[in-house]
Amino acid sequence: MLLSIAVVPLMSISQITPDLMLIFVVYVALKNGQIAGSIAGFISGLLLDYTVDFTPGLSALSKTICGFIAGFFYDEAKIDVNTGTFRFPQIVFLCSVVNNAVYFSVDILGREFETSEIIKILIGGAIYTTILSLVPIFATSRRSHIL
Amino acid sequence: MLRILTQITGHLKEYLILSILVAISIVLLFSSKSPKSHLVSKVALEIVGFTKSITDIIPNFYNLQAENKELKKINMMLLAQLNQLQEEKLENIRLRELLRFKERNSDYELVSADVVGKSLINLRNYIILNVGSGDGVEVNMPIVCESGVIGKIIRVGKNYSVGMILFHKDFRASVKIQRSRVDGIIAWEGGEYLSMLNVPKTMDVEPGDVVITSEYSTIFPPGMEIGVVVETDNSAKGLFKVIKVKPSVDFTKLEEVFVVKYKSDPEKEKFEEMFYGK
Repeated sequence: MLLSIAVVPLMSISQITPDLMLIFVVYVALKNGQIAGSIAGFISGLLLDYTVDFTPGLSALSKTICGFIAGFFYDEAKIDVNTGTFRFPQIVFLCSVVNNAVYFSVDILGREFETSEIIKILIGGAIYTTILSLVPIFATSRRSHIL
Repeated sequence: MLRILTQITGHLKEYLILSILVAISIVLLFSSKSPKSHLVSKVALEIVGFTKSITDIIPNFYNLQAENKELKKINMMLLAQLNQLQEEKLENIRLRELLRFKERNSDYELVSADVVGKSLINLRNYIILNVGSGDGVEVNMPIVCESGVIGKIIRVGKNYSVGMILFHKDFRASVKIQRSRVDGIIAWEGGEYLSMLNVPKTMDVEPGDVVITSEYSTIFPPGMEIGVVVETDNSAKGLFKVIKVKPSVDFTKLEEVFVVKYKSDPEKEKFEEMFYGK
């Protein structure tokens, strides 16, 4: 949460920012299932809404849905595989695209941005978030030599 | 079975939680006063409008049925009005023609009448008019219209009268060829044409000649059109030509007519009676 507020703005590349909170939500969903993922998404989204976006409900909505979707990949027997291998960034990418699509749906439907700008934010943000999601994998792989 | 149900209820719980959380998010989104929320409301409104425009295309069958019924009713009313207007327009045209005819024949007093009944398929054909003795109509008065002679009055009631038309086997009238002034008698011997009788084979009569009433007639004023010669034949036995005349009047479309208050000179009639023993 604090990272999202303090560090993320510093990591911005031409208005594209990574979504650290999303990585956390996906992680919780893959570790604990759909319900936990949804609740984690809702709470983290709500926190972001009141601290970063100042639009209560929008991030909560997108992150709840992301938590729920990430929960589909939850398998009690494959928790380590899902969270410690390259499967994790793949799921993060999917959820990030969905998250951005929901988050920017209002802007898309309201025609607030150019289509190219929307695609840049949507895909670019998802790629940036996915790249950052690789960090914990590399961190854990040093310890357990997975891959 | 129980396992499946348990699985479904298990998933239901997850979907239920998702629904609740999504609902809370949406409520928060709509209840806040941030600029983004206004945009959300705007987009929601657009979505609702778009959805409504799609659902409006799907007809409500009950309303459609009622609307159809109402439209049929209106259609019937409009058709009736249209027919009436067309009738009035045609009547107007006919009456204008009659008026012009009346102005042309201002020498005679004319009584306008409507044809309220007619027979055209018998040997003795009549028309019934809605004028009678109350209107000054008398027996043997000519019946005419803007096209020409129709017939003569043979029965008179107080408000109605009966007219013998040209297509009556007993109808006779003195006529002449307008161009060559050849005299004859017009009669009907069946068929679609009249016959001009008593015209010698040597007389000058050609198809296309106009047949008019002559001064010899004691019923019809002279110079009224009867019809047009369509056929002449000299090959028949005897002294006379066979002349077929097409009447100027279309009896199938007869609606408004005039009764001519014409009486020939009584002295002339008396003299003819005395001389010819009529």
